[in-house]
Amino acid sequence: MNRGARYFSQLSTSFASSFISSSLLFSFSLIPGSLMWTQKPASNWLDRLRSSKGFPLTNDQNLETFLNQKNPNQNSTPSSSQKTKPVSDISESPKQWFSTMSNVLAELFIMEEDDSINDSQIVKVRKSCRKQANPKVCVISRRNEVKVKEKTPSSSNSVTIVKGNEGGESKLDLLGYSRLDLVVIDTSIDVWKTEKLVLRKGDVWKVREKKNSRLRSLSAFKKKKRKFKEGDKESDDEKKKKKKLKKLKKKKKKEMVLLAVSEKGGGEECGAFAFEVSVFQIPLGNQPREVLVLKSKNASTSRKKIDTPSGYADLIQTGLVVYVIDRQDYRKAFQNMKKTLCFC
Amino acid sequence: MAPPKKTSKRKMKEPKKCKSINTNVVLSEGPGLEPKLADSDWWDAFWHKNSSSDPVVPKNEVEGFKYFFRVSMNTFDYICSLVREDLISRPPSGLINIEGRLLSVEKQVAIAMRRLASGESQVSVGRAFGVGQSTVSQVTWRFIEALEERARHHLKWPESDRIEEIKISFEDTYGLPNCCGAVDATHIIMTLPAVETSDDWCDQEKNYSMFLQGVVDDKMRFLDIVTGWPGGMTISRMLKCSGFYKLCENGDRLNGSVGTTSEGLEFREYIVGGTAYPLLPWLITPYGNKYLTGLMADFNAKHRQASELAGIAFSQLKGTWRILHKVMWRPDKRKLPSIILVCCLLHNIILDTGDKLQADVRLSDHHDSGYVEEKCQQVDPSGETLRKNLSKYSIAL
Repeated sequence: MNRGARYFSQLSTSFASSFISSSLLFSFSLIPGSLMWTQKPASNWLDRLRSSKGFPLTNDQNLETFLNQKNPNQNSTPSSSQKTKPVSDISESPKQWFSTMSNVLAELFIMEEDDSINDSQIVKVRKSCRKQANPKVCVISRRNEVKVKEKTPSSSNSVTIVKGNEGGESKLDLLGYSRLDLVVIDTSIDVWKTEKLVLRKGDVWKVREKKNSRLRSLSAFKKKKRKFKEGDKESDDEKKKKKKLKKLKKKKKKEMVLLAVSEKGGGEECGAFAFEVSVFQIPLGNQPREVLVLKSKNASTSRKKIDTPSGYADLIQTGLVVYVIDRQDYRKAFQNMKKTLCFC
Repeated sequence: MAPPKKTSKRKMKEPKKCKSINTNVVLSEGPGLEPKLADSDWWDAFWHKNSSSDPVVPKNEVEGFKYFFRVSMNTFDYICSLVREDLISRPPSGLINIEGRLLSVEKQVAIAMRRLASGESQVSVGRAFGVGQSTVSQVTWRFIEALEERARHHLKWPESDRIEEIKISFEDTYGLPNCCGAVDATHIIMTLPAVETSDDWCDQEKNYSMFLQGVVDDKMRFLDIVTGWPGGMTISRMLKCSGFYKLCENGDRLNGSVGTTSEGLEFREYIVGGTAYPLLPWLITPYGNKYLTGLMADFNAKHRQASELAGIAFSQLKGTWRILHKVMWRPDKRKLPSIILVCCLLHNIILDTGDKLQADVRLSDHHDSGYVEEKCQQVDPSGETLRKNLSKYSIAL
């Protein structure tokens, strides 16, 4: 990974997502085999929204008829001819238009789908389980009670003291136990002073070591204090350095200009991928450079930065591609990217 | 209205400071013009002020010093040397006395030790030294923190050489071969605020208390202590919670050479303890039967003498450091173990520096007066065998 890519990779993840949702300067659609630039007329917001999502500007079909309409070919894979069609062409086919629209609506509302179960459906199923249509006697709770009784040590077991780490047993097991936080000094242990948690229920005592139970020793306190003192001496220099760094960061932030953002959804339908593209100008040395970021929407959360176009194949898996391109023309880079996509 | 007040305070203080620097004598705030010496001469000032306050105070200055601080002047200097680095006051954050001068390490140690020794309130200790209550509180805690870190070497399980000496001493004095010490436990009684009261702290005598368990040697020096456990526990349970128990059970302590007599009786290393403790292979308790044979009774007598050492040590500890004997008023239960530990450390320092434990300050009655001795029924067969062997051996002597 070259210098620019490495630099940008740290920033791109956070910035890309925030900038993408902001002002849309340029928009383009990328589908294998075609790249289309749509310069939108500044009519009204609805038109802009429609065009950005690939809907026809003049559409007299209302929402209700659209929802009630059944899509017979929802499960079928799109044909190769559809794949090569530009987005604006999709709107011409009512079936394609429906599927695109349903995707958009599915993002906004919980909608039932026949083919696949998505997260929203799972939530819905769970919610519906909360109340039974015909309530019965709950046997599960009784079983739980029995389990709790079995796990709770009998009062006769007064000598046994269970020791272990806090949180080792379930909360149910500790029902009815009083809690007592202690500081115990024991000179037989290397660390004399430790914190313990005592759980008591009648004659049953459970003693547990508290996590990080080693209490701060005086020497540690002293060290900290000494460090603080040293820090005081250097504080002026450090403050200056910090101020400089802050200024630099601010400057860099200002210099990092979002040049272009593109959004494309529903790529899966055409066998492609969904991704976001954004172009940033970043200050690298004396010469500012443009960075092109591809962020896959449906990629796994573990992101890997790839700095060469040949890394495209990994894009779907890793979710983020960073191109460092020449300052002159990022549109050229887009074209190059288009080619790369076509090759794949 | 705040700024004018501040300036007036400054005006009040400034002349005093100047005087103290120039003449080394400042005017006291009390009635009359009683001169106060510089802070480094804290003892003279303290002695002058407190020697005639109580007829019990010895007239001799050296004895008087020991009366107030429980240690000789040499031992006091040694303690100061231990904590000097931690207590030394440096401007601007250093502690100051009423006149605005920095408190010397010696005065800080004296304040803290007087507080521990007398168990008097912070206000009255402060009055004796010419400092405020908050200074006493702060100084005492700083001293405790410093000493529990710096004096660790005064409380550790002895090396094998010393163990051998202890064993010889126990055998010579009490007829118990291979005995390495005596164990006992005592209650440190306190009051608790209503919100903090719980059965866990409430002991058998309905007092809120914290346990202190100690193993002592033939000179009543603490070899091992455990403290911090609530009084609601039984002593045997506390033992099982201790690191000492774990070490012994795992064979990492009291694992020295096994003594054998000509009759073939074997004695492993062990300690002696009262009936509150279980009979274990390494912890020998007295016979608890109602009807004792002559052999048993004889053994019990010897055992009692030996195990009483721990009880006497506690009486000495509580008598010397009265803060442990008085009912503590709502102590910070996280700090109390440190206070107890430091008292034990001071007890050992007294012995290690060659000072004698003051028998006259020892509690006249039992260290846990009012408490009925617990009885633990647990009997380990190996422990029983060892006890039998010891009984036979004591008859043979």
